[in-house]
Amino acid sequence: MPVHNLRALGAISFKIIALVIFSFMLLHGIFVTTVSAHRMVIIKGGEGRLQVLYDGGIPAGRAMVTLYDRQGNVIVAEGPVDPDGFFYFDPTLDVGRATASDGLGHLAHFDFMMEKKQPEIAPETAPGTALAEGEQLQPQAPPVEAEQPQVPLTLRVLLGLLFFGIIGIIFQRRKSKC
Amino acid sequence: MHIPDGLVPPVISATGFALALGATVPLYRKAGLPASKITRISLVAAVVFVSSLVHIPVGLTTVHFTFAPLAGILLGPFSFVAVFLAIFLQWLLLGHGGITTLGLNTFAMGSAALLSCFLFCRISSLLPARGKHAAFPAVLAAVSGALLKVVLVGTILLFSGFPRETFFLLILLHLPVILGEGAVAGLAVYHLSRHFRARGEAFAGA
Repeated sequence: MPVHNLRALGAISFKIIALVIFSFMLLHGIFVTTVSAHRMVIIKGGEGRLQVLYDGGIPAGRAMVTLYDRQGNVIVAEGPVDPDGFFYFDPTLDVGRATASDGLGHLAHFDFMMEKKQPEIAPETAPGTALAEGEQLQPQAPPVEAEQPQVPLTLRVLLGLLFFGIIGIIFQRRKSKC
Repeated sequence: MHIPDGLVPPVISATGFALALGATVPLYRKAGLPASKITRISLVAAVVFVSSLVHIPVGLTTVHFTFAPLAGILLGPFSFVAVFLAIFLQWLLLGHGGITTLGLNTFAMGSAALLSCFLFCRISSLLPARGKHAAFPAVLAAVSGALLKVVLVGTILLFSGFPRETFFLLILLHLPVILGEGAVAGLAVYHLSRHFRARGEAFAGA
């Protein structure tokens, strides 16, 4: 392919890339949920109970949870999760936002003001404490369902692969024509 | 691993964008983005994109692959573009990383890719690249690249106020992934070199 054609192609591809990025920015609100962060999420498991999980449902046993008031300024509760990733707090607290950090660069947020209605799953334990080692929830609580994102993970992964696949096919066909 | 939004101060985020741009712009000016490379870049970017879904539970946390070193070996300097696209889509579609830390994550993973490419070329030129030996430079290069990435992320966290223990813990926890990256790159290069040899050609990476 002549050099000037390549340059023109470069200019076009920049416009296309800019357009694609802008479109994806618009779609961002649809695909990225407010509770998802880098491989760690906070799930509300009933009144006064949160669970911190990594992608795939693995409990984040190292996480520290911090609860803020509705203004997001004052810490109303703070503490580590138990080995199963559960954190318990006083449900009467005026909590607006929760953040969790495992100290290794994983961070998760949960906005109580934007939360969706979720099924009640947990009997209460002492507020503000994690379960003692070996202590069982009584009666047996059903497993916590990870919050379902608006678009299933498989579909989002396929969408990403499709994006790269289409680009690859387009340029492969152009290459074979040259 | 990816650095998420809200973890690092804005100054460090801005520095990340500057470093990523500083690495990408000279490359684009020098080599452009040749149409002939875009198919390969797309395919490797797709591999990097899905790599973060392969995670390993280590202790009370999880670590995941990036395949950035493999991207560096296969794409050379163009791996920066592949890594940027993959990280961008990981943030957009999977919620991994963050938009304010896109530059930092691109710089960390792109540096790993570039170091792997550099070491692979250097070591390959010193060794006879035949049979099993073809994989050896790739393993060394990928392990070094993956280690560099973790060191860079750890350094960024240190500058963001994390304790020194975090740095060492990060490296310790990522050891399985660092070795895994080496194994994957070694296997990929071994099979590619066999494939190329069967066609009477030599596999020279990027």
